Amino acid sequence: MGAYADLFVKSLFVENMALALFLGMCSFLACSKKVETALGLGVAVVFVQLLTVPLNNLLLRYLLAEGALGWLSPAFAKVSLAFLSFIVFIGTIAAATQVVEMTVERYAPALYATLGVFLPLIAVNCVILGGSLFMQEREYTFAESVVFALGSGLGFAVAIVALAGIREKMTYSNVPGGLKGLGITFVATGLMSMAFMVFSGIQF
Amino acid sequence: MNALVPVIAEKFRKHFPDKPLLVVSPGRVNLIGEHTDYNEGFVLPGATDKAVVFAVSPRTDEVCHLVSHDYDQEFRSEIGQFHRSPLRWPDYLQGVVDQFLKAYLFELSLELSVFIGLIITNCIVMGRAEGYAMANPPWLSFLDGIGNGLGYGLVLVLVALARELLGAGRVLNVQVLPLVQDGGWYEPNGLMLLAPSALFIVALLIWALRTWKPALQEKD
Repeated sequence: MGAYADLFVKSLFVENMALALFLGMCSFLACSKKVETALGLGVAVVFVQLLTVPLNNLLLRYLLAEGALGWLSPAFAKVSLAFLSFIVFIGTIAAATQVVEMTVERYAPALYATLGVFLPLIAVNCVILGGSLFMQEREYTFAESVVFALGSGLGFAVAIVALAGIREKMTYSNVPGGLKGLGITFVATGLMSMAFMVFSGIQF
Repeated sequence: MNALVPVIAEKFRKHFPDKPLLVVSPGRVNLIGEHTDYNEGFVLPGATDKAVVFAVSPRTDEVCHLVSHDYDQEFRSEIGQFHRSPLRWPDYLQGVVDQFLKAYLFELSLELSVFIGLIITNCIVMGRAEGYAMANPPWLSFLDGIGNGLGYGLVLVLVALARELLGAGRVLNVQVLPLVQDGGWYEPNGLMLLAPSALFIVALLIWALRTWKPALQEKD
């Protein structure tokens, strides 16, 4: 269990997708004006991440990796389809995003309207593809990929909700005109990222 | 040549506390051809009775401490701050260590592979495809792509320029501001070497741009 707890904390805080690796910056900056919107996007990212990373793990293990097709015929024992992994990963992600989009539109139309284009853009969110690529590079097992997906997705959600909280408070501050909006958000993200650096070195 | 081995081992003991790894490499002459044997050329190499004897042990600090028995000279330098030595013989060893470090960092650079894959999700590609290319003819989209790519590159270069100058006192690896540690006056800003500094620099760029062109400022 210790190894899984370590992986969870590491993917949630130490290697936080948004604040340590700077992945998924466009939606991170664009959907963090309100806590409610940020929470909605955060939950959607966690959901898509939890769906795609373990699924891609299975596809990689039983379809794409070298020798994965060995069960079909001994002639395929040395075939590696790993060069297709980008296309397969993106396909899985696009399908999962489509499912989430349809679900949100049906059951939470208000959230659907506020998220706008950023809901379908989860398909090209670096957090999602990055999660699958890290899973492939670090050769996670299925169980590890589930833990990693949960940790990295929650990490993004925590970061974007925290930034939205700061930005909501900042509407009462007297920000110089040129920095208003995007500029001061960059500064806040930089300070948060520095704060998250203290997590490096935490282990179980 | 084996007579040299105990001499070197003894010399090593005088200078260092650890037990060394001792290596003897015989000299070689090529009777036919020169350095073509790896490339399927014809060579006839022979070993000579001369040899290089080398004793080495790992250190915990970042110092590279070299002792030559034949020259009876010593040389110290720190990893990352290798420099040519007037003694000349340490240069070769420093070069070897330097290449080992580069080879090791090459492993680190392999970790960047994830980010190469992530170009697929680079928002500038999707953004311009959705925002411009879908509604415009190919030639104009091409020009739009070139322009946006150059603009993105310009920001990258500006941020990198600021980070290298303030973080290491260098521009394109040329020392512009003499560092305090080398006897100069500039104390490098360590924050600039960390990733968050890029965010602050981009914020300053936005601030400068929107002060210059107030029409771009966001309303409450």
